[in-house]
Amino acid sequence: MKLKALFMEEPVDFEKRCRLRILVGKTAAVLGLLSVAAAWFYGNSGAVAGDSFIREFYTWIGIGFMAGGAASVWKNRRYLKDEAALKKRRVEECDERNRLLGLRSWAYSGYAMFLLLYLGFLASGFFDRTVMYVLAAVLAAQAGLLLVFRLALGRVM
Amino acid sequence: MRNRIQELRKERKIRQEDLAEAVGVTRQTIISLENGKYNASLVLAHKLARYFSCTIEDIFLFDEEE
Repeated sequence: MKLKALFMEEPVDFEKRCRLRILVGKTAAVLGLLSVAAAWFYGNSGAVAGDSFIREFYTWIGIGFMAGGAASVWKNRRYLKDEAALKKRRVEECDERNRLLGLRSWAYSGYAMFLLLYLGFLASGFFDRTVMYVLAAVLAAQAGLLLVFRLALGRVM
Repeated sequence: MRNRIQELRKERKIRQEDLAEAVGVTRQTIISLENGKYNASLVLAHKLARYFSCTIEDIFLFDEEE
């Protein structure tokens, strides 16, 4: 049923979707806070002493999560309070042309990414074998996911 | 596939915004339909037919060569 709701043209309960996004936003904000806290804690404990990159990386990732989560919560709460904004957003998100544009954009970017990965895989063999193995693994993962989604869609369509 | 959406809309003096709101799509979708850049789904075709009180065949003209 969940799979069907993801891929098929099911009627959308937009208010439910907004409430779910608020929950996801709050979770992202909490995870962001945890990331910042962990970066500061480990940064000062000496466990990653001298590795300021790791500390800064997780601090900024955390800040990004908190900002994104807070923005999502604020935006979706506004939709739930303002009927006109909710209706406008619902039409924009559920519009069949917009959905088709989104799906095609993902599909074309997927094809392009696959090609880029393949070219990178071919070229990286000349320079670094580790990079070549990583790219090969990513290529295999993408091909595997493509197959899984193909089979899943075949079941619901 | 050609369609008569613009013709029917103008006959009835309806704005694109109003038609879009009535059938639950964006104005850009109506523009794309009228320009022949986008083909409506069966659901949208039904909604348009119901809105204009005619059949789908009255709105969407299937070209045999297509």
